[in-house]
Amino acid sequence: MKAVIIVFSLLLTSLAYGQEKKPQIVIQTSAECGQCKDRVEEKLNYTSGIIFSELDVPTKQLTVKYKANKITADEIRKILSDLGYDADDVKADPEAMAKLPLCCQPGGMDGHDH
Amino acid sequence: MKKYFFALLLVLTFGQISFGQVSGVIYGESDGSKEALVGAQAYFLGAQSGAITDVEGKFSLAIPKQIPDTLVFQFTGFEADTMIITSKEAIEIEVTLYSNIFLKEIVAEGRQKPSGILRMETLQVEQLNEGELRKAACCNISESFETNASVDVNFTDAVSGARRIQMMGLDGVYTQVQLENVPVFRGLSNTFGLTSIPGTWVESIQITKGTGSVMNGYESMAGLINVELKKSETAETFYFNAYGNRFGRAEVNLHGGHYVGKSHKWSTGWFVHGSGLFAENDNNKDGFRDIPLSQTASVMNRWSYSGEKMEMKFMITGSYDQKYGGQLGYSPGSNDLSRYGVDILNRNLEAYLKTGFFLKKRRFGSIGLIYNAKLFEMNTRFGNESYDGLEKRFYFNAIYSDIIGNTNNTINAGLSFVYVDMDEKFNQVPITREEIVPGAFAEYTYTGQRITTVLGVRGDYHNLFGFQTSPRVHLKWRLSEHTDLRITGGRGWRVPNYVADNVYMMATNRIWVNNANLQPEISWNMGGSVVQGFKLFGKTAGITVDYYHTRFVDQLIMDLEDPYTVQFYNMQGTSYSNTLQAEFNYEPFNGFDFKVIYKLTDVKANFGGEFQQKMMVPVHRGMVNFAYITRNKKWEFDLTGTLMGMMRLNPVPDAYAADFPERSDVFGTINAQITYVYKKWDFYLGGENLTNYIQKNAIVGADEPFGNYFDATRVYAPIAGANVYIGVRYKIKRKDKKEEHKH
Repeated sequence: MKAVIIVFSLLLTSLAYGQEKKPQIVIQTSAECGQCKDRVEEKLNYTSGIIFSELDVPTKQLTVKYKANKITADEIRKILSDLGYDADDVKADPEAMAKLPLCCQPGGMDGHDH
Repeated sequence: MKKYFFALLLVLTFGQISFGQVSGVIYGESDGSKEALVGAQAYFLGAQSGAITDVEGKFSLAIPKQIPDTLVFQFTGFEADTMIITSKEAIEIEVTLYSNIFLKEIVAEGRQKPSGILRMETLQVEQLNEGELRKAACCNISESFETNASVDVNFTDAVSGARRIQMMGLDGVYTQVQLENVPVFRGLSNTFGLTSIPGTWVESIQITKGTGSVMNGYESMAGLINVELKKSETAETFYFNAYGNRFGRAEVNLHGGHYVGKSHKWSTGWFVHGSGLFAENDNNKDGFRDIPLSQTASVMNRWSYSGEKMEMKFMITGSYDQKYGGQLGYSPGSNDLSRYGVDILNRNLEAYLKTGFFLKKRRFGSIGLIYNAKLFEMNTRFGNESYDGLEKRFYFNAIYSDIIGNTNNTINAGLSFVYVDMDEKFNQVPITREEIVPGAFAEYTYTGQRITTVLGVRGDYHNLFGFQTSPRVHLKWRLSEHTDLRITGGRGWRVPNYVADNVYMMATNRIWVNNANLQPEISWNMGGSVVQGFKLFGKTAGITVDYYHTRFVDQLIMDLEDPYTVQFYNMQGTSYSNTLQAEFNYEPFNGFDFKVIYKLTDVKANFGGEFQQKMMVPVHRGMVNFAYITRNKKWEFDLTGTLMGMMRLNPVPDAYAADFPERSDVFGTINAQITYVYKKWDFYLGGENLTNYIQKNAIVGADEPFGNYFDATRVYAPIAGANVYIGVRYKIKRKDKKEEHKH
């Protein structure tokens, strides 16, 4: 049983260590609803080199922490663009944007009741 | 003590510095027409500040200091909606909420904690969401309460593997347990009912302390537990779960839901469960299986229709559960009379139909009709004792809901009808009973700026015991933006079944002595709670303190004070329960939740001619829970520790007194679980009772199971030792979800 506890605590501590070359950036996106949040986070969190990504829906700001030796900030912006979202200066890929769920389309939330 | 407490509350209540205001009107739309809602609630999820609309549906609310924050709009009977406020500039808005015909279905919006007190409810309702239910991945509803302190789950005995719940230190029979607002886990299904519903089918569980709403019946004396299963409209398209543990238990769950046709009016869901325990375990070395061998299968099919004028839900479910416990090597049906065996066979078939209609002339009026039919058969044998029961049950409930004048005043009134036919045979002695209980109820709700009051009364006519009334009052007072005070009081009653309620007592060879007159058990419950939210070092924290007192007017007492008998008699003198529970929860950093709970339980009645604490109920207990989810949501960690105080145990004959002390040892258990999420897959590894605590000497007279002194009901702690389990889930998310609003 002790083994289980040790494994458990090792996993916890391993998450807390290691700070080298792991920059955290904030990208201004055009993602504006809960569905976008799921799409973006799911894509990025399963991209190699990304430690975590978190979209704040109200501000449309995406916080990304990544391993600098595996991926670059520009590559992350490119992924967002390919998904159909603006990422800072990089514009969304128009074709991908057209395929987004209704609420993720630019202005998709404006027609909402409030 | 009280003075200090309120002083503490004052210190913790923080002022809000505001810049602008959100103001506007909340409308409700039902049956195609729109009307301003009076008494609708608008509140900030983060800041927990709120306002209530006036007679014109208007509200205004200061924008909290910390933005962005989510503004939630909510009104009973309507789907809640949210809006995110990102700027401190004053704004005016118009909100339309859409009617939701089925009462009391809780709509979760925004980022919600996996568990917690529902702040909008007038009653003290604790909700366990899927996130909380995942913390204990095994196996059925009775395990869902592992990380919750309000409901205690205990093994009933050392041979049947059955688990019972307790609320406020009172047996589970005093808690009304319902499936989607239908009280079904009663009568014969008291003991094994909860284990017939697999945990993976459950969407959420609501726990109400004290007497519940009068709308759902008269039997909630200590509390009310409502289980909501996954809906055909929202369940995963496909869900697969497999589980295995070190005791040799294996489990498979499959379910899915989808819309039928393009109109998205009809939807259907199917659910399948199969499980079993295939290995013999005897970790406490008493020669008995710690957990019985078992085979269980459950299936369910549900349908839902949602149209403009009406809604309909239909559900049919069946289960088959077979258990073989007892001495090692026992095999059922054999002529081996030397080994003590336990055979339990439960079969359940039930159907539900719920229909709801909007009224053409009354914009806020609706009628809901609920029908439920149930057939439960149970055949049990413990050694030489046998019990067979067949319960047929029909339940009908009709609820009319409307407003009086404006939406500040709402009323729910209706009629109910219960038919129960119990056909029991205890050691070949037949016990039969037919109950017919028509009833009527009315509940008035006043929703004010700060105070919400629910006044309810129901009257039921029982064919054997005559007329009974159940008045109930619930009051919620929002003392401040961060503080809720709730007070409740009410009467509840039930008709006991001295055998069916205590089937597990067959696991002792004590002689049953029934000196009780069959009459209803009646109790008054009163209590209250304070929920206080605050910031600690800039992070969300909360304190909940509640106290409840239940006093019996009449009770069927089971008395085990004499080591040779199980005696039943009507209560003598007083019988009460006092419980005090205090919880502190804190989120020190993103994704990390911590809670610590203390509970004091004082349950006393006359047992063996002496006014004393009930057996098997510890006075003190504590719980601590840590939960952490990494920011990329790939890893989930959970750790729960519980500490159980001393309990009084069944007395034993003098010959055994040396090995079986009068009181239990203080003990603790630790459960932990790790989940790794990879896209559609979840993999989990967990452990229960990780300190490997095993109760010594669980069975009295284990060497002579057919002797007079055999008693396996003295179980207060784990008997099987540490458990380790692994499991996997595969989920295909729903893509055909209905668009909630027209864009």
